[in-house]
Amino acid sequence: MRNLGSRTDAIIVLLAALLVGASYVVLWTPADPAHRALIHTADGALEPIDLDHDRTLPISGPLGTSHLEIHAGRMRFAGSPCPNQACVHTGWLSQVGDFAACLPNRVSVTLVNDRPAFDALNF
Amino acid sequence: MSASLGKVLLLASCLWLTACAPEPELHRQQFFAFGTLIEISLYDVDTQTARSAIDAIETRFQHWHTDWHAWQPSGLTRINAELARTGTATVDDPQLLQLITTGRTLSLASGGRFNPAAGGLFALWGFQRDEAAAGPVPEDADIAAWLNEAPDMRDLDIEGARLTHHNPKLQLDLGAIAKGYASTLAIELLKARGIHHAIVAAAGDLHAIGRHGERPWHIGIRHPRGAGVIASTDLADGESISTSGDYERYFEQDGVRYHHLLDPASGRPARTTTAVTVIHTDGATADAAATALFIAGDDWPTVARVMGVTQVMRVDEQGAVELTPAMAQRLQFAAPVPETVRERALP
Repeated sequence: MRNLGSRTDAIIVLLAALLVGASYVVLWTPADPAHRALIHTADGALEPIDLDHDRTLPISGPLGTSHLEIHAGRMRFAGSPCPNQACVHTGWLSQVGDFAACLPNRVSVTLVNDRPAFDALNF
Repeated sequence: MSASLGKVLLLASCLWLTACAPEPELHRQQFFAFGTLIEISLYDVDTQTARSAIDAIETRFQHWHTDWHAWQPSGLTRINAELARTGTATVDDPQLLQLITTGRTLSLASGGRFNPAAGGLFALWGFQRDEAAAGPVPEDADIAAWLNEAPDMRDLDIEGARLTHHNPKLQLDLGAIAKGYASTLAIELLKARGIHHAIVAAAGDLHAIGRHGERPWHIGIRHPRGAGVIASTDLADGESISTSGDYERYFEQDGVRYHHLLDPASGRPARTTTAVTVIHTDGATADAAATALFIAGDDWPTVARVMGVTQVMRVDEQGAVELTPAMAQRLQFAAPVPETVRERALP
């Protein structure tokens, strides 16, 4: 019985350790690289875009075409037909929660992983 | 042994099964209004209720957009035109009247730093424009001419639905309060539909009720430099959070950034601050206070005290962060944590 008890204890300790480890993975979200981009346009949300292959996406808006460049797991507005170019000046987005928008052309980008880091952004 | 092991495994599987039980669905939808992206998140409602509620909110936002707009033809531009022509105007829409009245109260409390009577100044800097870039920097003489009249909300009398002004330069622009006010109105509409867990996020102005199931709503606050977040916080039921930053609307001329947070005392963009975040239970108060405290610069604690806001974060031009004690207790900084973070108590 002693042996059984200690073995059971060991299993419980092991499971507890696994649960703690799993909780860290699930609940703790430090600055972490994003894997996908959520793109929103005047016509609504697009399908999430994976950041794993390099390319440039043309996105249509009321002013013309915004170009979203993906390179090495990051994304940026490479060009946009807006007057002040605030979206282009934002630069590269790479972390979960990073956000950029071309409001005149109504294109916005938020980077996410499988689980969003925040319920909403105040910007 | 196998019996004990079996019990342990059974217990563990039960725990995991509980953890994996299907969560109530989160409904999230975005649309454009007020020149920005509005995002509605609803928790623990069925799909049909969520869809009809979000549609209703979008319709209201489009109505407010067209009624309160400061330069596209709207209820407000009609009032501005009548005020300019006859010195008096009647406000038909009760929500617009409430917005102007609340704007006046908050403006007086802010010592005129939040100044919805300064539409003429925003126009002078080219910030009342949709398609073309803002700017250029106005002539000194034009700024001086506006400062000479310096309209503020003390120049506006409100009796019932009737407005009367004492300053020919007074032009109402409610841009620094409208989104905060609208986010709270939208939350009231959701509550009237029996929805108790929601976020209405109008870019820098956000109002939340309830929670996301077992945990509170968790909100990221944008870093004033770069694309990431500077900090995050949980919101309690009924709290609003507003951020005013120099990155929202600006133009650059000769390498200098000229942003839209104009100081009515100088007629020019307020310097020394890059962002202010305020948490309060009323969206209009949080919104107006974020602007007023940005413009107050280093003197922000005094203005916060008079406006009745106790939860404030300010980021200055060097990137140093100042927090009220109440804000310091609840904020979590994202990596990399700012080098300088200090608490400042309200006087």
